Amino acid sequence: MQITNLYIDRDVLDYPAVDAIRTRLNIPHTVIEGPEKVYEIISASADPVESGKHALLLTKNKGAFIRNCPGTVKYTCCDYTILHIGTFCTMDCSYCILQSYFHPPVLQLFVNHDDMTASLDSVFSQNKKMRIGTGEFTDSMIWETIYPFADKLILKFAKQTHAILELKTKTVNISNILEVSHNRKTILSWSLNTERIIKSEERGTSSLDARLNAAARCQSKGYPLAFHFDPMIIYPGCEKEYQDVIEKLFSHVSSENIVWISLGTFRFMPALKAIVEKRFEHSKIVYGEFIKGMDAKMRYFKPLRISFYQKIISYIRLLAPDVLIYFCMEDTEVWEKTIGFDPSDYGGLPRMLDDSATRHCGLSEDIN
Amino acid sequence: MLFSPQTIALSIVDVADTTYKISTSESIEELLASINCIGLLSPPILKKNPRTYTIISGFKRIAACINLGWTTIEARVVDYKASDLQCARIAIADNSANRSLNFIEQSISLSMLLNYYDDKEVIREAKGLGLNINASLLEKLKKTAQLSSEIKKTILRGTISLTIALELGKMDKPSAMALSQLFESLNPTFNIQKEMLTMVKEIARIKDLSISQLLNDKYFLSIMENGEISRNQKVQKIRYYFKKMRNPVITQFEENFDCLMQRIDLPDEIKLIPPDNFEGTKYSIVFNFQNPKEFEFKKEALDKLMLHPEFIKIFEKEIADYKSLH
Repeated sequence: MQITNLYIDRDVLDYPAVDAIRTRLNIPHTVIEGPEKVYEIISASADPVESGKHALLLTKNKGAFIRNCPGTVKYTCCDYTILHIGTFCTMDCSYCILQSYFHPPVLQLFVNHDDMTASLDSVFSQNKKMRIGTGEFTDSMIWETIYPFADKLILKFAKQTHAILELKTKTVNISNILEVSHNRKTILSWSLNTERIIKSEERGTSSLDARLNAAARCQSKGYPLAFHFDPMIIYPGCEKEYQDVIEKLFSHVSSENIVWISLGTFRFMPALKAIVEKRFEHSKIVYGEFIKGMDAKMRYFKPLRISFYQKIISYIRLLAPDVLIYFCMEDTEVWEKTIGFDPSDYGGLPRMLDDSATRHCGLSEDIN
Repeated sequence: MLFSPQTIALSIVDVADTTYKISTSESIEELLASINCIGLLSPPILKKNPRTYTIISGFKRIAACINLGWTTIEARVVDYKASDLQCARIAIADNSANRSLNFIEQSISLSMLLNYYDDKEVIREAKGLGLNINASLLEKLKKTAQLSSEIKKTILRGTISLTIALELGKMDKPSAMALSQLFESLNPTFNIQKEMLTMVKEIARIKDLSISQLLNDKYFLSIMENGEISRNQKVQKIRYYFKKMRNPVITQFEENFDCLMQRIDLPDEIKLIPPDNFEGTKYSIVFNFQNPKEFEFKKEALDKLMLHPEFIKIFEKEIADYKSLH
């Protein structure tokens, strides 16, 4: 997606990042007195989601940079922490929850990086194990070609030993970070899907091969890796195609260098269905066998999920018996019937992930 | 604009010209009786042409008079210089002054005005002519105007709701007609129509078929043509048929669960309730009792349930095969 409209909040006009982005984009910009004006313009357009992907707002994060991931008590949550660097995404995935999560969806990049650094310092001073990611409300690496700042984050995390940074992406914008001294405190992670789904549902993203090649390059530079099979889409023949992806994954990277692999089947708030139908008229993903889950999201019928997960896990286990596999938002029953145990048997999912991060990234034990 | 009262020969009134016709009602029986009894109280409005007269308002009155064998009629005549817009405004004002217009009539009225005004102006103009329309209704009425005459008729008959009609309007004509005929034939409630419409649209998308192809399926037709079951039974069978096609794994699982419950054979007044959509993990047992003896009986039945070899299967949530998905 090409940025055609650049809006700059007057509050950040003098920030160094703004000047760099303005020069790099080289398009006319509009100075505004606050983000509301952009919200109005995007909301008034015929397709706010589409418009939102072409308009970039440079502004301040006036709220918290560090946030808890919005999980739910109804399903097992991983207790992730979000570093809130911006919102929305330039890529265009049919299933993307962000289409209906933001009202309206606006590409925002927060440029008050000094505040972000201060927030991280505050977190690091707690000496508490944390898994912190930037890829929840946006893709972690989309702005690397316009304003590279992942390297600064990586360096920041490299200087402490209690938290890891996870950069989660569908891009291959890694050239700026390959030579950074990361001290294994940054995990590079990719969302993976079958080539069919990437082609039909993930507009503007990198191909599977490109993602795996990028992962292999990062591995060669010593970065620990993670992979997210989320959302997995159930369709005729999907098991074989996911098996192909899994085989391809382990032919590119070593399972020993993978900190975790997450699995999650497609789930969505009911409002997303109409958006997908309107914006992706050839997509069939919203016509699976869904029921309303305990968190009010639409999910594949549980026996279907269980059966599907059993197969996917068996494919992974065949090639990587020891890799940590976890579910994003599934309940104990699914864990027990597919992976064979309840995370609470091992101190809970957050603990399992922290332990894996400790092993792979050399984190120090909690002081508190 | 002046209307001049004139006596006009009915033979030169162009009844085939429906340019300004708004009324959707074709029935003239009551009007016939009234005109026959007390005469024509309200003269129709006509527009003078070089050789004929166009009806602006009063189509049914003129049809009734012709039916009664009249050769002339008292009418108010608008000069031939009157523009199409002026005539349309007269037609709308005269119709809306006498009764409230139904959706189709409102859409016809707006279509006339939309030839001359944009959306904002048309709302203002319509208000002046007695039609209260807001922006949201305007959009619906614009879409209603595009519907085929067959679908408009089903709305007028009350067989389908406007919402359903607008959905049908988005489909190819054979599919819209097939669904319209289905609703016409079975007359399900609007909620069931909505459910069926959603199911059918989604099944067609999943199977890459048109809706008309889907509704031409042998099994579907055998239900529709079965003379031995009632209309309600047909509705139920068709709903289940759609459900099974739309969600084959869920339907199969529910059927298996019901079979299992039959084999377990709990006494009638004990109900085992699975979690909603089988998503959660909490099952409930509900039973009523009136006295200690009955309580004891139910308790014994529950004890037997624990020992039933198939009781454990309730919790398995396994599916044999889901290749039929999609």
